[in-house]
Amino acid sequence: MDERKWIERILAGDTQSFSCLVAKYEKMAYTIAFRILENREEAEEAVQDAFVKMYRALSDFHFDSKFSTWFYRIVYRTALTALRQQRMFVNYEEVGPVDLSNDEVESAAALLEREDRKEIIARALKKLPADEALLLTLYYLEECSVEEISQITELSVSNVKVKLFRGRKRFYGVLRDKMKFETIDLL
Amino acid sequence: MNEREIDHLTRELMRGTTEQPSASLNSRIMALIMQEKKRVYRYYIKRRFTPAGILGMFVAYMFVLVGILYLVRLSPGGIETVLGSLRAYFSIVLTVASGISCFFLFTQLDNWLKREEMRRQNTSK
Repeated sequence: MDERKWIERILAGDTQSFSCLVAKYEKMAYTIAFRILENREEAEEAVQDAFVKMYRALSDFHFDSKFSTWFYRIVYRTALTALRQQRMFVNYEEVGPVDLSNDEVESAAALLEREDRKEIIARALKKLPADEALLLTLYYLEECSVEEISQITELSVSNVKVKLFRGRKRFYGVLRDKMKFETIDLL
Repeated sequence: MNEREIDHLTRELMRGTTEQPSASLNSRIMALIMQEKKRVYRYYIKRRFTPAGILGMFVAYMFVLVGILYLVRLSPGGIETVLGSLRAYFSIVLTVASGISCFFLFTQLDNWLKREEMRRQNTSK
């Protein structure tokens, strides 16, 4: 059953359909909140608040955008409120796309075969600034388009692109450093 | 490596890295939603039967009653004359009254069924 049907049923009073939405979106909502708040308990509280806000506002959603984009924006704003910070994306300055070095790409590619890839990636994401980790998550993990990320975060499309490039460069740099340290430890 | 290949590599690296919330998060969210639903339901009941609303209805009925009595008093022949003149419009009055009554009955029945459905859902969770 698709989201539209679930939402119609929820609006008709069928709460069971809401649990379908929760099951589908709780992990990504939690991931977004966790990237911003960097604390498990606070992230879970923000996700709970976001779901209640979504339930209250559901009758105002008219499918003008994707449901996921609309809901992730609620999650994002709720997490920001919890962070007590009005603007997460501060100190923005114009920079162009940054190329990755061969060293960085090779280190990252070597990770693909490793069983502990997820743990290493999770640790690398924690080393990034929260805004860049969030954008990488939305773009590469949730496969949101740049326009959708722009709607969620209220950043301009060009800002999102620059932030993504910058975040990706930093991400690969962190991965390369981690791999280097491991090699040194082994030696 | 071109841009597309780097994007592909990054997606592969990120695959499956969704953070795992605690197992109880789903049930906690649903408990909050049920509370929210009950709150809306109570508000609905409260809105329908406010003291001001009941008083307003009472005053409106009293005005109608006083108006009818006043009409009867003013009429030279008393209540017989008023009823006699009403007899000519009896079928129209009966039709309109029946229509209004049926409308009111079915509206109330519909509301009652909705409330029972909501109550059943609230208590079954």
